[in-house]
Amino acid sequence: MLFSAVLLTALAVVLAWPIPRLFARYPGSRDPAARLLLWQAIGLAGGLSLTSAVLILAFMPFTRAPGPAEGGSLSALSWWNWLLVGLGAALLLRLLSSLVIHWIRVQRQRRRHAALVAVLTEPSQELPHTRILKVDELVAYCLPQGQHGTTVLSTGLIAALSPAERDAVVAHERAHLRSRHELVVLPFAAWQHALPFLPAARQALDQVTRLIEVMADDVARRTVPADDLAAAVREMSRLQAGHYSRTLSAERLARLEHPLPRPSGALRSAVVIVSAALVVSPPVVAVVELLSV
Amino acid sequence: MATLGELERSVMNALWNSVDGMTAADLRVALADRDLALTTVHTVLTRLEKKGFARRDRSERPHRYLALSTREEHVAELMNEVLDQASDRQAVLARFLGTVSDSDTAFLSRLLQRRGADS
Ligand SMILES: [Zn+2]
Repeated sequence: MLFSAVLLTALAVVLAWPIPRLFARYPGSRDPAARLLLWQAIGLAGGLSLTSAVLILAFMPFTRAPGPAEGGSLSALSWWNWLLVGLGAALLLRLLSSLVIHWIRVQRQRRRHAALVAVLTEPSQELPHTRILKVDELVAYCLPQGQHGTTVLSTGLIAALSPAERDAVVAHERAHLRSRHELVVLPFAAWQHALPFLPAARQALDQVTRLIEVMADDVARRTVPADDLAAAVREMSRLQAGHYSRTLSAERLARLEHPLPRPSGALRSAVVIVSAALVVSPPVVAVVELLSV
Repeated sequence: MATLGELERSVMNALWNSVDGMTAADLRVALADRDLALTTVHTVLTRLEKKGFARRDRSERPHRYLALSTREEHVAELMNEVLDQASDRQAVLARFLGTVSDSDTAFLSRLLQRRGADS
């Protein structure tokens, strides 16, 4: 019915604009895992509600008439219905194909990068699954490849940090690898690529990449002292001001300098319920509407 | 037992150090401490050629192999992917190599210039 279609469209608009804006304005990271789940729900529900709305509108002639509709065949669909069906299918296809295309692009880039790393870096004598790149810049990053992944450290970083600080940085990178953060980022990066005109896509990607930094710190703190990690973050942002975001460094430092806040169980449950409701409702509404034909 | 990746690195280092390229036999001598079979050297060279690190000069026999770019150029390529200079998100995008803009060549050329001035 028209009403559900309008409602779902409104939901899509709210999820695509005011909500991400609000989220971006208050980037609190008390419970980054809950925040991340909400972002995932927003992204998924946004796409689902828009697609569902278009499909409901497309099949309106079937659903509009009460009682057994006499035009219960596909011939009852006029040109604009077909246009909407096409639009809905194209939308869904675009969102899904952008994931695949992005995955392929990332794989290609990663393969090229791994080839560069193989010829330009040397395996570390001390640290497992770690390679050393001879440059003065402070560089630490991880490459998801093979069973354990590879952490790359620069000689500049090793010279600038104490061994304890370096170990803290490695623990942070290994947390990214263990938590498969590259898969968390993938859909957001894909949709940002597919919908560059949508500010929400950019904001979502931006916030999610920040959240995984904080989450990697949280994981690293289980094995290394938070003070060492904080000292490393401070040193890296000081020496490489151009490459490290000051706001993100400040955010990480603020969290590292205090004991980890205990996540509230009530808040978590609420977030899980809201996220599930957001994702499940649009398809359920669409199925109910289309079944009532 | 050295992996193929390590051999590729050794061969590239030898090629980067050579002035006018090396034949597979030259490389086998240069890497004598590894005691490589000539076929292994050929395998590694073919892989490096495919990956765009080395090229073959076929004008004389035996073929000579040369590095396609300098080591510094490749380091600059790598660094360009790793350091996302304008970003507000701590190189994490580059870290996962999913969203580095393909057109971001300004930084690359700046890095190259700086390295050129250093040497
Ligand atoms: Zn990180």
